[in-house]
Amino acid sequence: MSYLMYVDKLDAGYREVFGKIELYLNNTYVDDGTREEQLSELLDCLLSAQEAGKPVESVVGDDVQEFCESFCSGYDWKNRLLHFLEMLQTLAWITLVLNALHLLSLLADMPLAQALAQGGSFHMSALIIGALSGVLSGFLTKKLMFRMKKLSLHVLNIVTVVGAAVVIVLLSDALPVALFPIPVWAYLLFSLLYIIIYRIASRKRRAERAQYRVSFGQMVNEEIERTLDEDMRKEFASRNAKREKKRKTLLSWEEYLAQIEKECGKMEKMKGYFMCLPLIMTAGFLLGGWSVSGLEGMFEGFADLVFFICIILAVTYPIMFGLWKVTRKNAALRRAWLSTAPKADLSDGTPT
Amino acid sequence: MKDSQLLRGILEGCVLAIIARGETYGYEILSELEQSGFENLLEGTLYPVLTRLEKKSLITCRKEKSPFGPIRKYYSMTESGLSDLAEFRQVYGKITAAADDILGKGEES
Repeated sequence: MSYLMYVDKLDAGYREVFGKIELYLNNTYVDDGTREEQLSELLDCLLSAQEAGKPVESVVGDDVQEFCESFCSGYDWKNRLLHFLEMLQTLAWITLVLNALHLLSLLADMPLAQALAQGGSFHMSALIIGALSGVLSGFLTKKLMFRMKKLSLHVLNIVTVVGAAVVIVLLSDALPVALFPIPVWAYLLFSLLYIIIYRIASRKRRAERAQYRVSFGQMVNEEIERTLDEDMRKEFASRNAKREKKRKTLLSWEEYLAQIEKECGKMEKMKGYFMCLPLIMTAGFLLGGWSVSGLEGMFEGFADLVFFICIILAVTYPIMFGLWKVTRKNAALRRAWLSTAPKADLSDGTPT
Repeated sequence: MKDSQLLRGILEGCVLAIIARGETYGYEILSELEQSGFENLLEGTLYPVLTRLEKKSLITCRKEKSPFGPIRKYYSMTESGLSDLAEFRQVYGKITAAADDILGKGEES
């Protein structure tokens, strides 16, 4: 959600109102694309009004609830249907993954045909009830958020998430037999069909949204770029404050720039470190386990060991690769800043 | 001016007229309406109007990052929007002339 990067630009009063409208919209059944568009447009409008020195009431009026209801009055059944289909798609993916894993575990004890005829993953009952709880929670949030004005938005969010998690966890253990006795093959087939049909039908819409999508990495980099000059100056002051405490000679601005240049070089060479770290972590874990209980105690056979190693590497490599990309981008931004950083003019080395 | 039935009836036409002057965006439309005398008109009232006009293909929009950062929608007229506006101006002229006549006679008596 790209608009999130700019919410910080709002003053406290504006931000509070925007937060309420965002909560209302997040609990209104509209597809993600429309909601993001609306919030982005509203945020731009609020920033424009703030820049013009106008009060937030000039955009939203005195009654935020009335504003929200009016703002959402343009939704029609198509928007709500799209939202419902989007929610089903998420459910379909979770169903597919849960039942695929369930099938894999059944195949250890029986042939494929028999495994497919078994009942679906027992988590399905809890998942469906959890999803319904989420819908109910959203409905109640919308109804209560303006009546209980002192209710913190954070409390509402936490209660919603914790409530849904508790329902899913409790029911997973309390209902060992699925409430909905549907065979594994049916769950797999229908969820796969749904995902394929949805993705084909929504291809154009997803392509439109992809044009404006901002990845997490881009958000991080834009934020870094926005505040880099100020952060680098603060870092200069901070390093000298530490040196002063240790009674060391203070850095001149030129010496500081030279340090940053050196650090950028080190950051650019860290690829090998990030790529080796998952292997080191896996080896460390296996050594630790071997020293405590021996490998025979940890794994049933060689296949188990290989499977475990593959899972660990499959999880840690993407994380390390992502961290490496952020580090590399950070180094590139610092180098770009270095090329435009002011040179020291004053005799005491402080930049102009 | 409250958000009355009368306002709802003419708001779409006024918004079309503003967009017809040149490509524009939500806050700018809101400011223009305010400067023309539509006091206390809110984004919450304007947004559904813009959504309806876009769905009827009377206006089109393109998205671009605004100077403040968020994605901003810039609206411009379509051919059917221009003919709809011309029709609105005609009908509005007739209605206001008739209403002025009746309301003027009402005041006299």
